[in-house]
Amino acid sequence: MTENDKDIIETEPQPEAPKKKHNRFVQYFINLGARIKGWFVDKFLTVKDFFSGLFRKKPKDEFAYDGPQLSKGEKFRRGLKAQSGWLFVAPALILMAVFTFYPIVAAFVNSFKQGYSSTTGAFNGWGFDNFVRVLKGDTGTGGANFVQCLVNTLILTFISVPLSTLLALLISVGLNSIKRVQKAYQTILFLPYLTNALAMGAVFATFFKIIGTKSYTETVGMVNIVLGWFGIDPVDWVGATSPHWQIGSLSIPWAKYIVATIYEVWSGLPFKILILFSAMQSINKQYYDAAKVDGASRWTVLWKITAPMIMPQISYLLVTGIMGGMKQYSAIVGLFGETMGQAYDMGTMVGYLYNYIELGQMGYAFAGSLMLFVIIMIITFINNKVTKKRTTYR
Amino acid sequence: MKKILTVALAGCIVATGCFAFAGCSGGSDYEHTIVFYSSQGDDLSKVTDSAIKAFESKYPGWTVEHSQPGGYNEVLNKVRGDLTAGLQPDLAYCYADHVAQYIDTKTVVDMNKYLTSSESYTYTVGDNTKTIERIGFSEADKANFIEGYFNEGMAVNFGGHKAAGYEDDALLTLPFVKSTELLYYNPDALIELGEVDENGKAAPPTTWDKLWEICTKAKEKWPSCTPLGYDSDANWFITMAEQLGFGYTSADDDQHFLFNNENAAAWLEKVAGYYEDGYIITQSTYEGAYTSTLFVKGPENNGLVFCIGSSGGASNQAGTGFTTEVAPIPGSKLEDGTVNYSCISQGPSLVMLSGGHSVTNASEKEIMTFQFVKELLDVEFQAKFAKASGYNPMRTDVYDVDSYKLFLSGTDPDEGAPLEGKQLVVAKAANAAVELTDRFFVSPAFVGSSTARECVDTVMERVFANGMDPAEALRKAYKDCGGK
Amino acid sequence: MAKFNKSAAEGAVVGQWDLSSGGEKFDAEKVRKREKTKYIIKNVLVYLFLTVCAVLAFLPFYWMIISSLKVEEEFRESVPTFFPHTFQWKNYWMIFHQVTSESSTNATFGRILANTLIVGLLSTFLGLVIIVITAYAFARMEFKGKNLLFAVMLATMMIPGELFTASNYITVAKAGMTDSYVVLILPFLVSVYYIYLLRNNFMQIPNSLYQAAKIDGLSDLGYLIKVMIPLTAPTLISITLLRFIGTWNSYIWPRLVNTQPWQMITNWVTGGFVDRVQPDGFVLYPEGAGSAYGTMPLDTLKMAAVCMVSLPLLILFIFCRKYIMRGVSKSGTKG
Repeated sequence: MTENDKDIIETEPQPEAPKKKHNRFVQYFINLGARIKGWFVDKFLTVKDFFSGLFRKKPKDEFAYDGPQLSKGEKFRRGLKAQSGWLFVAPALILMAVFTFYPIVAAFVNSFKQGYSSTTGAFNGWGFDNFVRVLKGDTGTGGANFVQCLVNTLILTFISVPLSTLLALLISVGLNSIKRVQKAYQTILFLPYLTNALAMGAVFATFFKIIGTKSYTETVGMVNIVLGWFGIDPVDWVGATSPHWQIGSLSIPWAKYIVATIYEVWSGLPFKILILFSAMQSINKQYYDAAKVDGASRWTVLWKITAPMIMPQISYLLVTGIMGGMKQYSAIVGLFGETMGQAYDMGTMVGYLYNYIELGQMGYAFAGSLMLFVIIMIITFINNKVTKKRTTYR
Repeated sequence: MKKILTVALAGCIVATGCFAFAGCSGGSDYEHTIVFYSSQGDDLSKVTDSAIKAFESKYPGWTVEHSQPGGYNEVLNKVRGDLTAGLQPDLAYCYADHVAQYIDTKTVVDMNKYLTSSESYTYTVGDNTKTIERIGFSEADKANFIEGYFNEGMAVNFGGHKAAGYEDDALLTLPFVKSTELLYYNPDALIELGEVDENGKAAPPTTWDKLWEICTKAKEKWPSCTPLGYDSDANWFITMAEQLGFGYTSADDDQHFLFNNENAAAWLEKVAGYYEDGYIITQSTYEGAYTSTLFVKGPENNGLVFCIGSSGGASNQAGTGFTTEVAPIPGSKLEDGTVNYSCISQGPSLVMLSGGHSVTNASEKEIMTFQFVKELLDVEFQAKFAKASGYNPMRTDVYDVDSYKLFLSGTDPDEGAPLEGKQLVVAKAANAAVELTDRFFVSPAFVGSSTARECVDTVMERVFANGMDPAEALRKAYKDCGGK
Repeated sequence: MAKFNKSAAEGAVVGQWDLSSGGEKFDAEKVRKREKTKYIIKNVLVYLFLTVCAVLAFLPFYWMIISSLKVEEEFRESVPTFFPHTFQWKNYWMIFHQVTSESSTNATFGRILANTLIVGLLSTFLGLVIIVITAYAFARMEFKGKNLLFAVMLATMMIPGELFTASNYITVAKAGMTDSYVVLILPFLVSVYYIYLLRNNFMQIPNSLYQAAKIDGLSDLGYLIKVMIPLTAPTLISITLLRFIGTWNSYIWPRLVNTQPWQMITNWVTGGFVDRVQPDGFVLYPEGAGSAYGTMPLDTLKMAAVCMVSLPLLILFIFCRKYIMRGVSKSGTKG
């Protein structure tokens, strides 16, 4: 645009020589007026050209050389058209500005506001107060405890992700080695993918649930019955009396961890099987034929050919699994209810955020979300390092 | 074919779009519509409809929009969100500690200026012009209000009221209906246990010591029963703090939380022992369900003998094989030989919020909203509502209303037949609660008072379910509340 | 799992033995027989392992369906039954006439389902439009700052979406958008990952096709609609399905911003379902004036509700298996 303006000014026609010589002051205004008029005339022509260009039937050959006789309006139209990509991305950009870019800034800014009230926007000073309180568990709201949530999230993630990846690997190897009804197995094994975590969490809870009072038990639940066959006493897996270890102020509800891990493995398997199995299918059969000729055993083939070939997929699964695990939340609510166990003892980091948003304690929610962000960044960083190493090793 | 499909799809989307946007455009004239949020269920909101009708016919041109976002917490969240946007309702159900979260927006109306105002007011809406003779309640009306219920709403009970510009005696909430806790018992079981008075009728325990004694007997007779159910863990703790005097919370800004003390731990220790013996079940140890579910079964069906629950939930206490009887909750015998019978006073209050939807006639709306409040506190309406809900009315003259008197005496005022089942228990509960007005206490409200409640709830759960050391549990709760 | 490991280990041992026995006298018949039994045993073990896994994968679905049809008493029997004695279809009737969670507002199943479908359809359709045009601009059009913008958008994918929730909650509350469908649709219309995916898809379409279309007098928009969309239809279908599933499963945002009558089906399913006495006096387990279970949330009813949420997803999966699996293997997200 500015270039355009300059262009106009330079090529502006000289005003005709005046019949009567005015003094400098008047002359200045006459010149100015002429220039302004010229500018408007020019713009008008441009706009006229622009619109007539819009409605003109398009020439068949867009790429024909139009030459220097292009009118200014046409030039402008072309210039604008070259930027019309912005028009296409505008809706996405506007939405992202409001719901993605702004929140990032707001989260950073607001997390440093002490005693921030979301209803009035009032706060009393800047500082790290929110972060300190969140880390110390000193929010004074009876809400979830950040350290507890962090520990829960880390433990659950780093148990369930490797476990389900290993199991998925075994299943994929099994699937890969059979010839009949492969598709049927694949379909059934994929079913848990398309589920609602809250709904299926509730189903899992019924497997583990003890129904009744302390004095009279109606049923100890399916899992306890099965364990009973092996002489194991019933355990309250998901209820209020669920056993836990206490380490300082930290609670380790191991029974609930087991339940959550079983659910996470069950729901995490399908995607992992899908990835690993299709990776195995795409390994060139020549490798196997060659191995067969060499008389390599199945075990050797698995470790020497299959495993290295699918190493990128395995590390991809570990990375995405850990990322997903750090954000787990709805399954926990499905299994243990909206308070995430007893007084949030099964809380996760995402659960922590939502808990404080619901309590209206936005300052802590912002501080917590920033810390979640930092932790995820650290894990991404470590992941990248490790993955790189693995790939080079391969 | 393809075209038809496209057209059908487009039609489908347009239709859903229309539906969506038709659904979200309220289109209310907020200048003359009073917005009221409550947590009433369908049955109670039908009762409230009669007050709305009365208001609307009395003041033509004005309407009331009554919406129920859910439970108390949903009302709180909704109001808080609305305050952020300046879309607050004119009137809302509240607990005192909710209002503690609203006052910094300075929209909470001090109702003192309307309560007994003798001024008149004339409004014009369209063709309707009407004069309100007296904005406030008459002195006679006010004399009927139960004084004790009003203290809760005084600004002095709310932390930060000075900063928000309220005088100590500003009235921020008005009591609507109140409830207390009652001992529901199974008379047949007591008779079987030999707990009878001189007339051979079942004699409910009046002290905790007596109650534990009966529990022991019951446990011997029906090993699979749980003698006592207490619906609200937190209420139990708070009530015992009052009865035994070990302290729960105070309105003092320097020291809000008093419950972390040895006496509280000693009491917890004692009840934890009873829990271990299978004497007790509470809501938190019963997967969050009301223990009345067990009570109605009776002890011979693995149920309860006693259930302590809200007078507002009386209809859930109607026994299936027996007729539920109601008594006040037991008291605690103190060292000086006296018995403290304190029992908690709860229930929704009303808070007025000003200037929602940036209306231009905010002060006129306040006056009109107060007229609607007058309908809600009207003696006939209070009688009706108390009858339907089981809550206690907030004014004494309701007990002189004929239909309510009939109801309390156990007769259906509409049909003249004796009450039975649920209705009978509700009437009995209302009767029992009438006697208790001088035993009521309320705990102070401040930002964090609901947190304290949640924390002691967790204390009870941890001590019972996890066998945590009471002193440790109290310490933890104290820290969670933000106590130092 | 243990069994499988064992079989694999055996295989390894046998294999080693095979190699070392190379010098022994060669008995073709014996070797073939041994190979065959080995093959059969191995296969049986693999099939066994897979079957156990498949059964465990399917068990929760089976349990959910049969539990939803049981009488509560049967569900609570000390030894669970694997097939209902009597089918209690009324469980479903009850949950349809159930109001959400504990408090009884007027959000029935019908309303909740309508909410979910309206939000799901609108959000999927509008989201798809935005994804397509944005991806097209990034793939085919030239404008100043394109690459920078694209890089910035991709960078936001690194940030956990949870970081936005608190701010977005305040934004929509300030705008007074709570309790509406708009608030459920608007913040999630743009999905950077799908834009990225579709852009890559678009870029695979050869440039010569674009030139040809231009010569035929097609405008950019015309080219997009007439050429590119049909060519990338499989990806688009996958995106549509995954987005719809994502909306169906959305839980926390609706819970934060909307009250019950405006919430979604997943919010509905988390509530407790009690045997509520209906206005006409109907109750599943009558006892005295009320229900034998009082206000206790019943697991059979809960399972019926869970079926109502899960079965549509299963059916969708059965019919659109190809597209969903393709989309999943590409994106690894649930929408």
